[in-house]
Amino acid sequence: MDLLQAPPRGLFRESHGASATRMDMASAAGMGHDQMKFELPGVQHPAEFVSQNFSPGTYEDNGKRLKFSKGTTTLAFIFKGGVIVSVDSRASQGSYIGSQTVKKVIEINPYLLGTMAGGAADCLFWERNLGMQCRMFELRNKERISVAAASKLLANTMNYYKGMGLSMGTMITGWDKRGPQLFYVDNDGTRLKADGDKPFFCVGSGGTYAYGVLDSSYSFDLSDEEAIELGKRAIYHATYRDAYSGGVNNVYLVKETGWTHVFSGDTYHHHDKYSAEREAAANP
Amino acid sequence: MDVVLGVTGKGYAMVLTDMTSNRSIFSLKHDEDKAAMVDERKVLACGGDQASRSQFTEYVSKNFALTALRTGLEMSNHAAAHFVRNELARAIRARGGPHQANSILAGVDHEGPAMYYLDYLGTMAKVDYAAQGYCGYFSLSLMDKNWKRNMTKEEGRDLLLMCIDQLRARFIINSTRYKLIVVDETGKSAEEIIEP
Amino acid sequence: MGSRYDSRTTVFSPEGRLFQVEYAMQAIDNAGACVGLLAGDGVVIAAEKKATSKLLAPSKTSEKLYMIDDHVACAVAGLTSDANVLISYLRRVAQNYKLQYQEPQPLEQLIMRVCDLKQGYTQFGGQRPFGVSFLYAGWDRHYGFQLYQSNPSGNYGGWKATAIGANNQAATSLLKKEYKDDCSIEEALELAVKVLNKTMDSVTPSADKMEFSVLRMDKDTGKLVQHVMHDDEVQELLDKIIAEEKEAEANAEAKAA
Repeated sequence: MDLLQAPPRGLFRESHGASATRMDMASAAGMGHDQMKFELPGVQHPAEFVSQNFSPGTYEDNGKRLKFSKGTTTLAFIFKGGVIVSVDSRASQGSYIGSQTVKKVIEINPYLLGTMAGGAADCLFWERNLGMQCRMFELRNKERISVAAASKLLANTMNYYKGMGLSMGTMITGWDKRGPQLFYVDNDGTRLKADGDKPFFCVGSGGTYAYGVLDSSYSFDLSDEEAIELGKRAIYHATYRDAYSGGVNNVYLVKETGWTHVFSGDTYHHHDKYSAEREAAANP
Repeated sequence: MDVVLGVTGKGYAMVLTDMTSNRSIFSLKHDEDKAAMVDERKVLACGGDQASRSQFTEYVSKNFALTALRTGLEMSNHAAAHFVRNELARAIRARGGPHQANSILAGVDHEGPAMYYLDYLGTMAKVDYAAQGYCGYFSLSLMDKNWKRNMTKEEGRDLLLMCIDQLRARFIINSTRYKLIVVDETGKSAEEIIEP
Repeated sequence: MGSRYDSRTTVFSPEGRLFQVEYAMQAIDNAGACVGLLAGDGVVIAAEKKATSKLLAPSKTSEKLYMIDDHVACAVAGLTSDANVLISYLRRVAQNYKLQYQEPQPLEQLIMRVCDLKQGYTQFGGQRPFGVSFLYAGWDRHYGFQLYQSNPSGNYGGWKATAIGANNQAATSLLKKEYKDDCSIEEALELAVKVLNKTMDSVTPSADKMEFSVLRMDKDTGKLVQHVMHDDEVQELLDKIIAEEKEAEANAEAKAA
């Protein structure tokens, strides 16, 4: 029975790339032909528009056929009550907004979250792959993997493919035996632990703005509500200044019992609230 | 752009590193360890990108641990440095490419303290004091002028502090924190975070 | 004498023995004897050269004693051809270590490597074991002067004094009786001659049937020296011992009278 055969998995090195294409093909083939529709940009010459806006730049993404989705603001910080993860939801491809509703927090398992910055496909694929490796660890060892170990698995993968064009800047966070944990992992194979007096990271083009808010307002002793508010505010300021960030702000709170999705709201509505506050503060 | 410095003195060797971790225009971390004990009495201070640095340091320390288990003997500074150099030289012509790690290996063994300068090309030099990368342009002249054989730990520390002052005065990149690790015959004898 | 369990090296007999390995060790028990002694200031290894034929040209280099590296010498008992393979392996291992670490390899590590190779032939596929036992004399900075022995099974051990080859049991019982801890190299050499005399069943020892190698620290330079004794040095040593024995005999006779 062919149906009983397991589909190829990404666990083994040699099948990583192959399984990605196969999955894409499978999903394309599964779709009814009459439903398949490719949205064209609403301009006079779509082909010209695409080649102008999506073709490789002089040095950025050199040699690639398409520009990656890159503009993003994601942040995460550890505080007294756990970890806050707050992200925007805009996917930009150059100056084109590809989507306003991207889920940039990847729920690896009930205790682990990953964030997404850089290539959306790379992040999603490798964090799903990480989810599988973490599950394998659980089955083998009868206990949950630590965040340190999980992030190391991802960093090892990134190291293996170093220089081969992957694009990923992620934060892996969760709660394990050592308490709330946060790691930064990127496609250079870099892996950094968030600790010390500023246990947080901001990743993406809007990160500089988010850092501005976090560096000035962060405190370890925030209450859950204050922490969520700080997460929202940092993303708001980033989306306000960074054209490549925007859409919906999603906020997650990680506790000993696992993560919860505590907020989801359009940054456009943030603006109404925060700009009024700002206005009032700037003109006393 | 990392700061990696080292000095030997009477019965000890000490290394000083900055603690920042940068990517593109971000400074992501200010409490990064760039020097690690790779053996009971050996420290490896390392500059380069975080991935290469941690992979290289782990590779070296795990090999030293394996050697210790196999032989029950402590590796001499001389042998350890040659092992590290060999790995760097092998990697530069290997498929995986070079370890992007420029390091200072310092330790104390039966012959006393020793320090080795190693770069990613496989260059190795036994030295009394060392600097890796740009920080050398600002601090080597100070060390040439002020280093003395058999300095006390205090004198060695003062010399490194003098180098930090110079870096802060003239180097375009200003680090806020530095870590100092001192190794003597008992192993790691001191670790200090310096915030000038 | 053969049994079903002796044709392959890798199969245990029902009693739990590996016959091929035991046969290899028996073969060595007929080879020319070697003796090694650890002195306080060095190590001595000595070997018996078996006379084969008067027509055979005497070998220009040592037959039984080999230099592995500046700090290691070894004596072989068993099949010379097998020994040659292992000697070149030992030399290669020692040089590789030096290449990687730029310092001489600690003695036990070197021996462990060659014994791993020997062990492999008691376990893996269809080939016979090496028919060689070794004595190793060496020095390293960790444990100073050392003497080791290894056999075809891949077992090895450190000794104060030991012997391999023909009549090694008689040799070891004599060593047990006469060996003194921290003896001088000269005393060790004398005892080595006595032991070889016993294993060779000869009445008068002859210089062309024995080889001696001494590893010691040079008194003037403080450096390690490895020295294979020349024929005239051996003759001198033997003359001295013969003279001593004669004197002892004379003394004994005088006492008896």
